Amino acid sequence: MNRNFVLGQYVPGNSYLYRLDPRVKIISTILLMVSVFFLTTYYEILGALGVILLILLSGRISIIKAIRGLKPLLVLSLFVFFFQIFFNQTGTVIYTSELVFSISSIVSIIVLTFLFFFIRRFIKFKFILLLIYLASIYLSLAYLAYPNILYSYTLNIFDKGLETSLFVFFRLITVVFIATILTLTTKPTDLTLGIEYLLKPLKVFKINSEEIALIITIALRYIPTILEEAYRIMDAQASRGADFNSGSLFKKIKIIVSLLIPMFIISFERSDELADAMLSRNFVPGKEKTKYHILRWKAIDTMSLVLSFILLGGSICLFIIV
Amino acid sequence: MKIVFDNVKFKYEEGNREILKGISFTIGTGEWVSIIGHNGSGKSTLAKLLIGLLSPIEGAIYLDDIEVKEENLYDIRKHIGIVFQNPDNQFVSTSVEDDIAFGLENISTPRDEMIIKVNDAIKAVSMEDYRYEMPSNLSGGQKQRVAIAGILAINPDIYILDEATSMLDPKGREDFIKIVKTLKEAGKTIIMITHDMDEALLTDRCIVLKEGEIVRDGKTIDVLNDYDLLKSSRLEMPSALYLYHQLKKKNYGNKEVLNALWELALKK
Ligand SMILES: Nc1ncnc2c1ncn2[C@@H]1O[C@H](COP(=O)(O)OP(=O)(O)OP(=O)(O)O)[C@@H](O)[C@H]1O
Ligand SMILES: [Mg+2]
Repeated sequence: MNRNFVLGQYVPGNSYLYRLDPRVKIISTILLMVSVFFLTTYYEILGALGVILLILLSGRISIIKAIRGLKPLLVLSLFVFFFQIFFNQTGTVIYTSELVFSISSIVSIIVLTFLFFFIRRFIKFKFILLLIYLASIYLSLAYLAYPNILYSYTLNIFDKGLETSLFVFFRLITVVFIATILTLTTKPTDLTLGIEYLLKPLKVFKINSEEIALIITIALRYIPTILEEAYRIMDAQASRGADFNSGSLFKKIKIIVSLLIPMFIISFERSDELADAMLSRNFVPGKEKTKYHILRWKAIDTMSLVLSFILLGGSICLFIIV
Repeated sequence: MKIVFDNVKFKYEEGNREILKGISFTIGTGEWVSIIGHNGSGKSTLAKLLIGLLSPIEGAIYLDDIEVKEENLYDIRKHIGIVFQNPDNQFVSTSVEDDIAFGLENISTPRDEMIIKVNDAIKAVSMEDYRYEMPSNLSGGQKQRVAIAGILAINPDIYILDEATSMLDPKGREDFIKIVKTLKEAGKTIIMITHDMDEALLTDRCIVLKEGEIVRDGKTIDVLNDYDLLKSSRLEMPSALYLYHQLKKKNYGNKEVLNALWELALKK
């Protein structure tokens, strides 16, 4: 199970990306994401990915940390990739392969699956293991035909199919990279402050952006705590014999319920105590107060914003011209 | 500011047991008081009543002449700072400095003043290196330090510390006691709720709670010297006093005690 999930993935540093006004960062993130959706071919997307990598490098962000941010979406993007390759059958065939199901290939797949799930529990690079697993399945299907062929399937990869799958794959990765730049370089405090300022116009609809920011802050604050607690309860139950990774569906549901009930009770208590603590420190909802953090607009903020608009403009131009 | 509890009774809505059964006491300005009692004796409940998070079903609580009730709460809370028992659930913000600033923001402290106060408070609890840290990366004791800093920054007249040192290391405790002593010198009223009898021994006055009733209220040294009272309240004596009594029981005079201690010291 992945225990390293942290929502605020902020990594301390001090390049210009860190010093930008959070408002600019939020707006630019949105602008860049929108620009990605104006791109229509995979080499344009590759270009965009290049631009994002340049931004990462210029901001002295470690690429490894950025790739780590992709982790939750890697499996999904892989799935999207293969789905496109298999089912998008337009254009000309560029690769054919005979996939055969025989006793030996099926046995091989079962053994590989067993090995995959077994090794997975001891290894760090799960994604690479997944790739090796998929490749070995492919090899067994392509070459193991002993003793006789039960069923065979011709896999045709089409040039358009490959293009679209690359396109979809890279687009997903680019978008996630853009979001990662924001979360890696912005402290949760600044992020909520930025959101608070940007939502100020909602006052017209009688929505108080300060309260929204407070709710986001508290959510960010308590997600790691509550996760930690879930793991603690899971450990406590595991030490008494509960097994979260195997067992029948019914058993699993039972275990999950036994996790949820204490979680709910503890969360109620927590929220009560938190409210008490806030009230005792003179918190009054909706009351005018002073601010510890203030935002200052700098020249570099204007420049970044202009650059983001230029990038958006560029991709819109590409979209219109092509 | 004077704190007055006048025959306060309290019951939680969910339970039908009376948690506080007619509590009366007066704590004058500048007093340093400890409240001790077994688990569930009602100490935290008493603290929550004082700050108006709960209201009594009978009796009344006053701060000077202002009654603690709904319409006066904002004024009253400006004068009281409280550190709760569980440091995890009183950390409001996503970083140490923001959490300390939270209370200051609420009472509209001007920003430049706020920055100075936050800095001083962080320094007072030796958390300079953790200024920008998220609470999930802090230990229990560190969160407790932040909670203490949060009220030091506000600098109220009355400090209520509900087991505020339970997770601190020896150095942290020592620093904390130093801070409390300077607060006392500055004329602040300090109420320490604690299970640490050695800590209680430092205070001037001690209130003993047992099953929602005050069983003793007096000079700390007298209260903590009363072995039978403490035993019947399911409490212990401070270790130093306990040692003294045990030695006395064995009819050791001062000279024998001294000799025995020397022997012990030499053996080591
Ligand atoms: N929110 C609540 N709802 C119902 N009963 C409560 C609630 N909080 C506390 N109690 C009950 O009130 C009694 C007194 O609790 P309180 O927290 O004041 O004790 P305490 O003296 O602070 O104990 P400890 O030393 O464990 O901190 C306990 O019996 C407890 O079960
Ligand atoms: Mg308590």
